[in-house]
Parts: sequence; structure tokens; C-alpha cells
Amino acid sequence: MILLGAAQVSLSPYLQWQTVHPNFLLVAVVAWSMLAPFPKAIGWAFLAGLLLDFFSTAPFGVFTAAMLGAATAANFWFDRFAPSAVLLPVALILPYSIGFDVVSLLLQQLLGRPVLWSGTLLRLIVSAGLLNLVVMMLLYPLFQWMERASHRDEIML
Amino acid sequence: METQNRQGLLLAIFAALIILGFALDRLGYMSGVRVALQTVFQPAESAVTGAAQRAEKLSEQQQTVAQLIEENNTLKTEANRLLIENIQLKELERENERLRQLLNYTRNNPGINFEAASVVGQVIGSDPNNFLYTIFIDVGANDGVAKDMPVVTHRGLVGRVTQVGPNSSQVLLIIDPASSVNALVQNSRVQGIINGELGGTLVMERIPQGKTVSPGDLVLTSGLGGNFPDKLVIGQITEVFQRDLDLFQTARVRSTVDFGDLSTVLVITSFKPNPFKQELQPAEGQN
Repeated sequence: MILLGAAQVSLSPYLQWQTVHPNFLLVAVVAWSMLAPFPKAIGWAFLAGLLLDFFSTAPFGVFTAAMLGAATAANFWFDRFAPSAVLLPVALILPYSIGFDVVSLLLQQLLGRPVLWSGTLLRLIVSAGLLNLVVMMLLYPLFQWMERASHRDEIML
Repeated sequence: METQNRQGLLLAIFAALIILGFALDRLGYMSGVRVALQTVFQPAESAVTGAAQRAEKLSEQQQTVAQLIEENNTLKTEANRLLIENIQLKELERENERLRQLLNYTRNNPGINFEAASVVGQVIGSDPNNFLYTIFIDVGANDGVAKDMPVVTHRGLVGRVTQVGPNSSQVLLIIDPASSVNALVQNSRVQGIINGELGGTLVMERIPQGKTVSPGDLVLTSGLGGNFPDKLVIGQITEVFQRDLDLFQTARVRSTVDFGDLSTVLVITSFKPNPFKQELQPAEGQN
């Protein structure tokens, strides 16, 4: 998670599309929350949120709170998908990404930062969601494989 | 039931930690932690940025010779045009100097010598969130960088330093909604305030009604408030919004800096910001 955070900070200037870059940490947390039990999911979400907060100028806690919300909502799907399901979990990142951005912006507005809810904002939120969808296509099968591998190890033990 | 209770307890613990962190941040205790974390991450960020730049350079080298020849011709034409423009500007500069001497003109703030009083910083990262516009650079307190120092490129104003570590600093870009810069329109000398907008655009607010501002006008820092030096280029007006019912006019400004392609910036270390303090001094003889 820390590596993903460092990659997000360093690579974001190079991975921009329409002034927006993907949120690797959010994608990892949502994917992990769909595959892992609640305590694990919420632990990773807390760590990812802290990383976002530490590297940001927004009031502290905004991204941790939004990340915890996203993880709790995504954990609803834990054990509800078929083990081989990929399409629906991947597609679900779009509403979760939009929800995360809206919640974090609402919190920032509540804490006194200027937020303009205009067409530009909608364009940014949707663009970020689409980029996160692309990253989810790559990360979710990887996480699925990791989860299966760790599960196999537990059974063998 | 027990599982739900455990989940609720976990969420409550994390919520309490967030509130504690928020309170500590408001009291100013978090900035040290943020700086420490950035210092720890700085070598990794520099390494990743270096690798990304090398990869970018490699892909650039894949361009075909024909493309390069065409580009070379275009650049030669552009260089010739700039050479002529440069000569004209030098002439104007000499004329300006003569006029200043004639008028015995002295400025309150002497011109900033960019070469002698600046440090060059390499951009090593940006805000991990899409709606906040900050960058991290690889120069810090050890290089003479301090909080609130202005950051520029050869194309214009980039922002100001908001956080300083030993070897890295965080810069708030002027396109961030939290940024505010006192500005003036070059031609009409009309003053206003440049604010950032989500989406990386700039808007000039508080332009008095009745003053003429037009698309194409150049916007510079005014130096008012003492947060930025004056006469730094900010951008060009692209659109003016004027309604008779409003107290002020508003203009959209396109920055001269390409914020999507920032790699090297200049921190003006000789400029000492002079934040306005709202302290009312009692008049002499008054009790």
C-alpha cells in the first residue's frame, strides 16, 4: 500500500489524462474490500486514507474518512460474487470512485475549502472514474489471484 | 450480531482516530509529521521520477527522422522569429532604462535577480488527489527555501511554497482553489484577484465595474499584499463576464504556464513575503 502511495505521488504528473490521474490507492482498497473480510478491508482503507491525507493540503482526515466509507460500502460485496466473477466487480469501481470524490469534496467544503460544483467538476469526477476503471481492470484480477493463493495456503496448512 | 458489533467498534475507533488527527492538524502538530513523511519518501519519489523521465526520453527517441527534420525546420523558423523579437525587446529595454533615468524613477522593491537569488527544483511528485493542485520539488530548507517563497518558471508564476522539509518542499499551484494572488491587467492597470478553479483554470475576480478589460490582455502580479513580487506574468484573459447588476466583473484567465508539463521550477529565495497583519496601532496621544 505504501509503494502504491509513493507511486501515486511520483507518477501522477506522468499519468494525467485531461488534468486527471488515476487513484491507485482507492482502486486497491475497493478491490481488496470486495475480496477480504471487513477487518482487513477497513485496515487497508485506513492506511491508504492516511497516506492520501499526509501528502495532501486538504484538512487532515478528509480522505481517510472518504476511504473508510468506500471500503465499508465495497465490503458489502464480500462473498457475494462467484469466485471467477470479474466484470461486475470491475464495473463497480465507477460508482465507488464517483462516491469517494463527491464525499471527499463535500467534506472539504464543510471544512471551509472552496469547491465549485460546476460542469468542470463533473467532468473531472467522471474522467477520474474512467481512469480508475482502467486501473481496476488490471488490479482486480491480480488481487483475486493473490486472495486465492493465500486461501490455498491456509487450506494446505 | 457479534460480528456487526465488532465492525461498529472498529469503525468507531477509526472515526475517533480521524477526529484526533483532524484536531492535531488544526493545532499545527501534523505539519511536522507531513514533512517527516515527505522527507522519508523523497529518495523514492526522485528515483521513480528519474525512471519515468528516462522512459519518456526513450520513447521520444523513437520518433522518425522525418518528424525530427520537420520539427527542426519549424524550430529554426521559430528561433529566427524569437531572435528578431529579442532584439526588439532589448531595444525597448534600453529605451525603458533611459526613460527611467530621465524620470529619476525608483521602485520601492528593486528588481529580483533571478540568477543570483533562486534555486532550481525538479518536480518529484504531485498531490495524490485529483482536486488539489500541489507539487513536490527536490529542494528544501538546506537549499535556502522557506515557506511562502514564490515559485516560477520562465513562462510565469507557478505558485508558492507551503511546506518545507530539509531536502524537499511542497508548492501550492496558483490553479488550486485555495490559492489567491493579487493581480493587475497590464494594459489598463485594472486590479483584481486571481483565484484557482477546479479543472486547472484561473479566474480573475473583483474587477471594478466600468473598467475596460478585454480578451488577450496580459495579467501580471500586482505585488499588493506583499505575498508575491510584482510584474510576474500570470496569464492572458480569454473571457470577460460583465453584468450590470453585479458589483464586479469577472474574467477567465489562461495561465502561461503549462501545469500539466512542469518538470523544473525556480524558487525565488531573495523575495521575503510580507503578510499583512491586522494589527491596529493606537494613534499617538490616544488613551
